[in-house]
Amino acid sequence: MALLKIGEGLTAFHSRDPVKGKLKIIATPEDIGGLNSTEGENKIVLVNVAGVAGLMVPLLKAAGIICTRGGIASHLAILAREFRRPCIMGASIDSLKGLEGKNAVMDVSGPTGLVFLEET
Amino acid sequence: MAISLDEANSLIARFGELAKDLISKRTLLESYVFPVRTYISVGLYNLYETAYPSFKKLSDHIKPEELGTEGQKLCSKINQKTHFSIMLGYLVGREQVIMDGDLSEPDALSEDREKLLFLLDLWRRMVSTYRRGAPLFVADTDGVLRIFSEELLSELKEQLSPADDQKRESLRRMLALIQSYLFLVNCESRGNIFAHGPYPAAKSEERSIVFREFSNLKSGPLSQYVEDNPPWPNLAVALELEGIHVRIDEVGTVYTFPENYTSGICSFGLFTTKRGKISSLDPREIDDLIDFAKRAQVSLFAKVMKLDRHSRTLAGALQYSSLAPYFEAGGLRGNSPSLTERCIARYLPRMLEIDTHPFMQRFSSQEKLLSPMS
Repeated sequence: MALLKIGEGLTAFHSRDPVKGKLKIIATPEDIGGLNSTEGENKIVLVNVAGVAGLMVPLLKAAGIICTRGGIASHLAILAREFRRPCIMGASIDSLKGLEGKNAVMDVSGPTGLVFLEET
Repeated sequence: MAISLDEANSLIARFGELAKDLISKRTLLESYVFPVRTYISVGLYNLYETAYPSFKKLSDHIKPEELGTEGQKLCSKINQKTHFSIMLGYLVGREQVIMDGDLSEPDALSEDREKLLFLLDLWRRMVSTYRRGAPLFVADTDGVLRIFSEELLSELKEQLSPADDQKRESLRRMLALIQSYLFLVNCESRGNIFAHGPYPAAKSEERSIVFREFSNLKSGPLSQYVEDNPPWPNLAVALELEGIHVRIDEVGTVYTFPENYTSGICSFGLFTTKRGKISSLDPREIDDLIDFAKRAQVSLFAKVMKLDRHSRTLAGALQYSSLAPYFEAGGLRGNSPSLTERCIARYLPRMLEIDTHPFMQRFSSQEKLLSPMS
């Protein structure tokens, strides 16, 4: 299976192994409110705000977290480390459009975290 | 005045450098739930108006050095994070006023200088005692922040218990969930989350002890929406770590290297305080706190989502400019000011309209952050 790189950022919590999952995008407070207790399970959650208020469910359940903003001292990065969720902060991803539900892979083995889409 | 103009301006410059450094590692605060930039500016306008009369009143009751000593207690609500944030907040509030053009007349400038010299002098004396004579900023002590006396440290060390895998996992889960809850109840601010250390451990140079403190588990403007009560009013977690390098920043964030510190926990202790008395907690009670943290944030989130932007901004501004912990430490509980009339009538509506104060752009520019006094 081919991998297409779609972005990179700072690794805030490392994993030796690649992290795989379907992308779940959270772009509004309503997206958080719409999450049920298992939503996000084994998914890679992609957020565009580096805060954490209301994000308990994805932090508990997600396979990994990607944030298009922030850095290693952001609240999201702090909690990703506490929840031990592989995490990339300040990820430069051109557009979130069309990414929902796509199979993705995070490489967070080094200081720069890489984001790929699986191409079938 | 005990602090000279040059000394004061050096402190202002250092605050500016450190604030820029902190923001470069995280960007400005933001949130899905709270209008953080809006409420921060309102809160900091408020702090610029309330800090001087508040600390003037407090200084009639308690010396700055005594406030410093109060902060050295386990689970103190005043600490390096609050000391740093209150002074920086005042300075940023001042910059907003300068940028608004409201601090240019000779009388206003003279009053500003008098207040700022008083506050910086008080701050320096308070923090110098708090840090037991160490440099005033954690960045100047290589990320090490030691505030406990030898006696207190020994007393707490004696009560540490060995950790096994199950306890390590419970601790990690509890620390994650309690912080997640506190970020929500404190309007996305760091609120009552604080860490200090590393302290040397007795058994080996490879070991050190870090304290994770949660100084109030139910406080702030949003706590009225938390139905449950936490099992204890506050919590301190002592972690003895082996093979883990620990660093603390100016606002009490703990960084560990490697970042996954759980397997390095060799012993731990759980403590709470009530009226100054320290009690050791049974590790079996961890699950009670985990349950509380999960339940509380699910119901609180639903309630906060029903609040309008005005109410969320107001709650955040109150949270961000609260001086209640200082009044409590000074024996004047209940005297902490709320938002001033000018804040409510002028700054709150203006910030709700413009969302982000233009000063905030200076965090990402090359420009010097804070203005010296002339």
